[in-house]
Amino acid sequence: MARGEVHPIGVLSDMSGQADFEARSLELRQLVGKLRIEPEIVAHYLQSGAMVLAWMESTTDMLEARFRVPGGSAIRTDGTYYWRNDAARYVIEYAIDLRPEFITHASALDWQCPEVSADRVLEIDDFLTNSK
Amino acid sequence: MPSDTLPPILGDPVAVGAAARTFASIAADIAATATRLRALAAGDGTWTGVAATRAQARAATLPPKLDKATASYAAAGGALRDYAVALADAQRQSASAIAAERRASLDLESARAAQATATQHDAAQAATAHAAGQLAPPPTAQRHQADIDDAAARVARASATNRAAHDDQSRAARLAAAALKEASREGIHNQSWWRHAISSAANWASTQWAQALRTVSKVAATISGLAGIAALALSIAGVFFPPLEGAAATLEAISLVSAQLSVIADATLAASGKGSWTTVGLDALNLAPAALGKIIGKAAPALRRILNSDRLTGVEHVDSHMGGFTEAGSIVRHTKTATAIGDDDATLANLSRSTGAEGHDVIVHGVLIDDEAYFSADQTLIHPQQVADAILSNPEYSGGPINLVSCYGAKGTAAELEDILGVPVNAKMGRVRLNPKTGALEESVGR
Repeated sequence: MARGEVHPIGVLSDMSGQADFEARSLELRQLVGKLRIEPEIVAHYLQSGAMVLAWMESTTDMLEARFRVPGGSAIRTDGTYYWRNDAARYVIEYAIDLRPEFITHASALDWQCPEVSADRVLEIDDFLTNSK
Repeated sequence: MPSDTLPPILGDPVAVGAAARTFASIAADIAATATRLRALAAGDGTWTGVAATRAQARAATLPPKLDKATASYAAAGGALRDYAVALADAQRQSASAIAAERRASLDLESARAAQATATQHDAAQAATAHAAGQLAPPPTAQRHQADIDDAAARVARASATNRAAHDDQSRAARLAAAALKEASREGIHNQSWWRHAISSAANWASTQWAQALRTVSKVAATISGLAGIAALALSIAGVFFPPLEGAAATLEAISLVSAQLSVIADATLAASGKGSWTTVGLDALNLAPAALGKIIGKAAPALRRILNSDRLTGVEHVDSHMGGFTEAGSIVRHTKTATAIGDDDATLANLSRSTGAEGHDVIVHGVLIDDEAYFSADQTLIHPQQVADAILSNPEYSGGPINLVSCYGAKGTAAELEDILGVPVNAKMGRVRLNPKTGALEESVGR
């Protein structure tokens, strides 16, 4: 495994800005309502991830314009997976399904997002920056 | 943006829409309770006798009152939903008009400059011809008049469109406030119905109807909590849309009334030995949101900060001090090397990375609308003047160049800031952040 390697949780790990992410709206729409776990539990986990790529872009809900998220295209991580900062809002509003391996991983942690050290955040930053 | 251009329309249609959905949800809860009470009042044959007959007769008066409340909450939800849509439309129209006006103004400036140059050229040509005893060549300056007239007309049209968008927003806000007031008068604000309801409920409490009362208590507590939260949301919205401030006050009344219903219902249960006084105490806590709603008018920005607070993971401690709030209520932070607006993790992460190596770092979110960049903090668009005010209020800023940590800054907001401050503003076309190792402004590929 490459140093700093982290894995996507699904569509909501797209690292694009608003304009390019909107190209995946159909893909996202197909996952609406398919999450089989309480969205609040998942969203809390996602919202608790450490901030890695702190892009200063405010994003808007591309499905029904229900919300805006300051820094929505920024990236968070739990040290193993990574996701967009606006992922939690999509999960809360639309129960967007996520990859089963991530669900298994977070369930094993009892949906308590682990702390990520500053050094590990920098490693992940390098990995994500160089993987684009 | 020309100095006399109306600013973008502030406000958050998403927040207003959420409040609308909350009201619709409350209406649905009350309707469900009314249905259940109707079934209980109809009787299932397990409770008979004079007491049962009297209690059922009194109980029959409760559902109609709940129907009235249902209609009121539904009407309030509808008013807010309509306003959210109108606000979003007006914001789009205004943003588009401002962009068009900006383009037309640049064209106008360019055409006028071309005409001035041509006029000078014509004068020189005429002087040369006159000195040579020849006829002067036809003047060329007039050729630019059509361009000037066209650009001026486009500026005027765009300005009128922007004004119309502002008028639409004001009209929609007034309509929403009037509709909320009407909903209040029709039932939400009417306290007599719940007093009557408690009288009916008290008769049930001594028998197996205690379970029904628990239902009333539970739903009323929910109503109180939700209405209290809605009052908070509207109080926040009222900061941006003054006509809605009155509506927020109305919602505080809803929350208080519903909470009182819940408290009295639970008190009745406790007195009859079928409930718990602890529950009464817990219900009393539901009054808290309404009380907060009253405070928020004076302290909206601080409450916004509380409501938006997250666990600050991945964000190092920042040695900053409060720089106050923008007009829209967003928190401003000052450090020796930076000014930041907003209170989310991305803003704070960048603030913690600021070194000031490329100028005074100004950290504020950017958003693209119709390919035009705007500043944004929390969930609201903010005017470049507010950003400039935040910078100038930083005692550590001495007037040097600005390093704009705001996405899409080079697409317009940097130029506007440069015009206001009169200093160079470094910005990028795409998404930006401060590099966590070097503190340098870094741009992402893609959009």
